[in-house]
Amino acid sequence: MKHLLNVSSSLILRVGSILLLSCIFLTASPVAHGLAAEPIQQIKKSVQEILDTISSPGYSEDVNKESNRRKVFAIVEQQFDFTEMSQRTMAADWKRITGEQQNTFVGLFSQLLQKTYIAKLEKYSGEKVEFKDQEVRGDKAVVQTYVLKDGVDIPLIYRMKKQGDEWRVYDVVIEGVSLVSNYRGQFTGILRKEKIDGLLRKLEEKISSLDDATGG
Amino acid sequence: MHLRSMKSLIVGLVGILLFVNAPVMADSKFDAMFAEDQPLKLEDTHESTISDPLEPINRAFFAFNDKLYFWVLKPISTAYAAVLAEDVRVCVRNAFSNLLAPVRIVNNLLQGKIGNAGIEVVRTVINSTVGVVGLGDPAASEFNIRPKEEDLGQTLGRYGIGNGIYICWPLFGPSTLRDTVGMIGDGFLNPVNYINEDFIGSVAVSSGNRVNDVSLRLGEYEDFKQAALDPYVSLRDAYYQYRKARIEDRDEMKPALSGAQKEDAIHVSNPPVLALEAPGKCFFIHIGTCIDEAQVAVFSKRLEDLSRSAVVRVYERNDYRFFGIETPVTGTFSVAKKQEVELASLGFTSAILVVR
Repeated sequence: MKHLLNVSSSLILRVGSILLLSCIFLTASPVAHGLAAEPIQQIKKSVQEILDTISSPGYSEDVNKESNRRKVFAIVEQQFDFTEMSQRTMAADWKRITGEQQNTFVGLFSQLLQKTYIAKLEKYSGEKVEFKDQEVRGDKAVVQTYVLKDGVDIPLIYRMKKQGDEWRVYDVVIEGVSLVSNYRGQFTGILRKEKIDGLLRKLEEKISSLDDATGG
Repeated sequence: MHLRSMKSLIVGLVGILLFVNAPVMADSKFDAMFAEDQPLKLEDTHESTISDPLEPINRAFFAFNDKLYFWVLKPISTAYAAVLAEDVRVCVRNAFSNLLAPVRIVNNLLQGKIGNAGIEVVRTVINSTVGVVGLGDPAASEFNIRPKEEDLGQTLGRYGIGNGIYICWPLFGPSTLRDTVGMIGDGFLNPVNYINEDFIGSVAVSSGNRVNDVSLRLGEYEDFKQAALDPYVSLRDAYYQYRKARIEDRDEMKPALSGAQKEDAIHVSNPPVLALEAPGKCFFIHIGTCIDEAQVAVFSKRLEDLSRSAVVRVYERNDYRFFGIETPVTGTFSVAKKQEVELASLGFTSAILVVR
């Protein structure tokens, strides 16, 4: 069995990295009105903006920490369609909960995503991002990017949906692993055992534990 | 060694008998991406991912691995990272990766990817010589020849063998029945297992590799855990999705390339359903036209079997679109002409030489 160590050695960590880098991409760019930008252009511009923001001098200083985080939150919120993401992670269960529960869920889920990624964003250390390709089919688009980290290319794909003049992200796929599917797997299990109340409570607990950890 | 090989053979046969099912291969570049999307909306389907009858035991081992990481692996790796510079650690990683070339070569061959197997051989030669016994990776950094990661688990998956059940091994982490069989098989191709006759020696080398790997990825597991509501399920699902994409060889999983080579690489990647502009004065052999992507896949497969790459051109005419299949030629006009005749004799009756 000893040889298993080698073959599988980095797998758990590789899989662990899945959620790590998407932070660099949770970004936003207000697109000029009346002019629909190409999805790839929109992502490119957004990533540049967010990288500029977080690598600007004084970003990590304690005095500015809160306001800077809020700034990034606002950008993230605009680029991502958290309602669409919520519906997709809940899948069939979405219709089984009340409108009020839906709203609470969207609020909590987006908070969870924002908080986990903002923490990772702050660990950004100059990784390069390459924008390779895009394909548009109707109101959906797929944009392919790569993150170059320690000489390794990490493939990262955005799934986007057009809303009015803007493309908004509803899923991120890193090394073949979809963020939405991954959360759906977790939520399905929790919903089966503890129903929607249990899921909402767990989300709340998670968010407050993140607050404790980051002091934010 | 003898006993172990018997064991793995039996496990392999049992695995094959129990879990053969039909593989689903992606047809074109982003097809999988769009296709997965369709039923996502609000359909009443519970997505079946991977069967996990051993969940209680797996969860126990997951908890064990978690503690192992925080109590043993992380402290050691942190200390190791503090002592050794990152460059050195990258070199160590490269060296181990170079050692595992036999695994990649054999599995590329088993999957009929003759070209990729050749690339792995070239990489090994370059990295073992110019790269000083694999410490550097000049094949990638100087020559832009990237590794073609394949392992026996992927090969078995390619042959249509399903995951079987999910298994979270103590020490080794997430796997499935199929991938476990694969790992045991690949173990025979891992030179580390032949360095030392004694068990302890190999374990020491393997552990060193593991510590080195972790030292380069410190913090990632914590981030992963932090984002998850149920880390066990999250990891299980991530493992499932990750392996599925690897087995299907989705284009989006292929490494990025830069500069001029990138353009070439896009040309020979198979089978992207994309209109591509070729640099001037290149010879291609047009071998047919298709009305749908299923036909494209058939053509691409036949070309792949001949170790030829397929270039797919998309033509849009008003409301319909069709695909032209071509294969690029490296060499002069006379070489191309010869290949045209050759391909025609191999059943591609409409093979015709084109210049682009």
